[in-house]
Amino acid sequence: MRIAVLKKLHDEGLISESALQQVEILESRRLFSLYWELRLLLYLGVLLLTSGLGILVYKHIDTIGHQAVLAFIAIITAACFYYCFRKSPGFSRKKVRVADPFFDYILLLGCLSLLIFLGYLQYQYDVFGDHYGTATFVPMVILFFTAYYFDHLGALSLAITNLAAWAGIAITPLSILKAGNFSDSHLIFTGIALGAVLLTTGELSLKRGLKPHFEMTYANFGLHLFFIAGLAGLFTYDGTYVLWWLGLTLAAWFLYTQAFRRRSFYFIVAVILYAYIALSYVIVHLLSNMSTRDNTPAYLGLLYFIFSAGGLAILFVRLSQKLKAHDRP
Amino acid sequence: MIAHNPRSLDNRDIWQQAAGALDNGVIAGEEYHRIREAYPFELYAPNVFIRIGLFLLTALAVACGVGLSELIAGWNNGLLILWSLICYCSLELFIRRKRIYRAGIDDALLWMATLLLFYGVILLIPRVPDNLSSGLILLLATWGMLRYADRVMALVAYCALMKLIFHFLVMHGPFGSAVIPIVFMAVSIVAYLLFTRLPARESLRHYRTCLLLLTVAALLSFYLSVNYYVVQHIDPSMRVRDESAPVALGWLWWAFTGIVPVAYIGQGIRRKDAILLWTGLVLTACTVFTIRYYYHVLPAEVAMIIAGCILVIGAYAFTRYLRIPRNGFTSDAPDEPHLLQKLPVESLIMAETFKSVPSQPSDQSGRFGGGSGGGAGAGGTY
Repeated sequence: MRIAVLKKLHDEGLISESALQQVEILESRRLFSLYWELRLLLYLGVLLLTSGLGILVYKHIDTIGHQAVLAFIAIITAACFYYCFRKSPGFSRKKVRVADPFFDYILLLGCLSLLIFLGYLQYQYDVFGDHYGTATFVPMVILFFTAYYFDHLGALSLAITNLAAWAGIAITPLSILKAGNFSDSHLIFTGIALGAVLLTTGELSLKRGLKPHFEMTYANFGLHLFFIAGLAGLFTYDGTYVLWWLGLTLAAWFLYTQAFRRRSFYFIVAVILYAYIALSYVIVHLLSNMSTRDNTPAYLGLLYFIFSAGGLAILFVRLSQKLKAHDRP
Repeated sequence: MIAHNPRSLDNRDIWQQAAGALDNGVIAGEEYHRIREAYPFELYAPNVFIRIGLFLLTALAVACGVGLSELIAGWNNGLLILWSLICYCSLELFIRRKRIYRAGIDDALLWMATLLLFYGVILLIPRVPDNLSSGLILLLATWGMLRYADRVMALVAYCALMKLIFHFLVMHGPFGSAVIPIVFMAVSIVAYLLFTRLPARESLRHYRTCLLLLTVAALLSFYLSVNYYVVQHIDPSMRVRDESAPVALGWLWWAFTGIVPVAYIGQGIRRKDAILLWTGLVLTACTVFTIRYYYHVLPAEVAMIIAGCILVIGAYAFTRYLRIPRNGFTSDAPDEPHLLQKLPVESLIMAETFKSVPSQPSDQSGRFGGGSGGGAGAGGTY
């Protein structure tokens, strides 16, 4: 708030005298907050410390011994969770506010060291044997519990990643793209199913009022997973690509109406762009199968992109104007 | 000078001030709406995601248009310049008729026009001297900054200016090369003084964000011009020699490398200037890396553990200490939400930080320490 501007508004009679006085008091008492700076330093410190310890242990594993390392990691995990249970106000269906500024970090540290602990156990002692399902199922359950009990979005993201690992795929969008494993039919169908499950879970959290603020994270993971897997299916199955395209377009339409109702620009743009990629693939596919010797398909393709991109841009402008009626700048 | 209607931009600023007052509970919703009616903002400035979408679509359409015409005409450099003019004219038309402001369409058209003109000119000339290309970039980017208050253009212009000075000095033989760091220092100081004074002018009020970014650029370029590693590597005549070759006035550059970040942080705290503080924090890391590049004092992991302990304990102690505000400082969260909190990027960043590509599901939890701890960012606060 700049006093000069508000003073001018006051002179024009748009805001009251008391409001202006309040602004002056607020501004004179304004403090310089080092909140983000200190958080960044703390985060860097935790990062340096854990990586340093990791390298140290890795280098001296012969002299320290596995039990000692395991005991050390277990102590860290236990200490973190003990701290969090002490500080946490307990479970609630709504958002939980914890006054302690270190709570989030300590919980995250606890979750990560728990994962390291279980992984180490499996790697060194084969606790779960060949039951890979159990090996990822156990940490997943613990992480979901942590996320819901302590109300932590970081733990929820970890839990969803673990769920995907349990289902057998890497969930992070970049690694899906990089691995380029589009041809694996098992992955495609798992991805679509998991994406749908995540989207439904997000919807249910909102409807049932069970941690409604988790909806965003679920929907975000679910949407990208669903469409990337769906597009992979479209690119892979040449014989039935029309069916895939129809399915994707229908799903996109459904998700679009949902996003529109919720006025979420992010999801609207993402859904439309995914649908556009699917449509463009079909068009390019059809053009590349044309049997001519000259450049006609290339001309047609470029024309298609010029006009479709322009048309979509107009659609975006219309949509945002429609949605913006109640928005602030 | 600025393409957009200045009164609309001023009104937008008033809206934002009023919104701040509304968020602080100072004024009521009714007052806020009266202010919005008294100061209309008719420009089309959509949400950031719409902006990204429009940017991508516009760039795609223009690129396909260029491709189509080049395909029909055979390759022709003149066409690039023609397309650049088309983009520029449509940009001006869109701004005048459709009143778009940071809508993605204008960003894409501005960048396409600039890039197409640059490459059109560069490809016309057989062997382009370096100083000509940097001069051209400087010219185009400065125009983009002045006319459209484009923030990235401002940074590009500053980099191009530095590059132009560099080429100018190198052309003047060994003496010119030897004084590169000193000239860069002087330029950075002048730039900093200029960029911190200019925002006070009312006539430049629409460029304040540009000037803020340029201030950061000046602070960074000052540090880079005195950093030992940069000083050693920037002189073209030094490049052939090996790493251990001494640099003239080596002690001076080492002293600067160490002192500048500390001085930035100190000044940042004294003046309560977040820009200086953040630049200083980032540059401290650069100094640490520079020192470790030349002197391997400790094994990396021991250094990491010591630094990590100092940081954790220091940050913890300061957070506790400042819980009660002292000297105008506090460790409580600021009133204004952090920029990143408004975006749903957090979960994606988290996922990228923890990414792994398990071939077997069992690998997932079997990862070892490494870069864990990541992505706490704004942890459950958004």
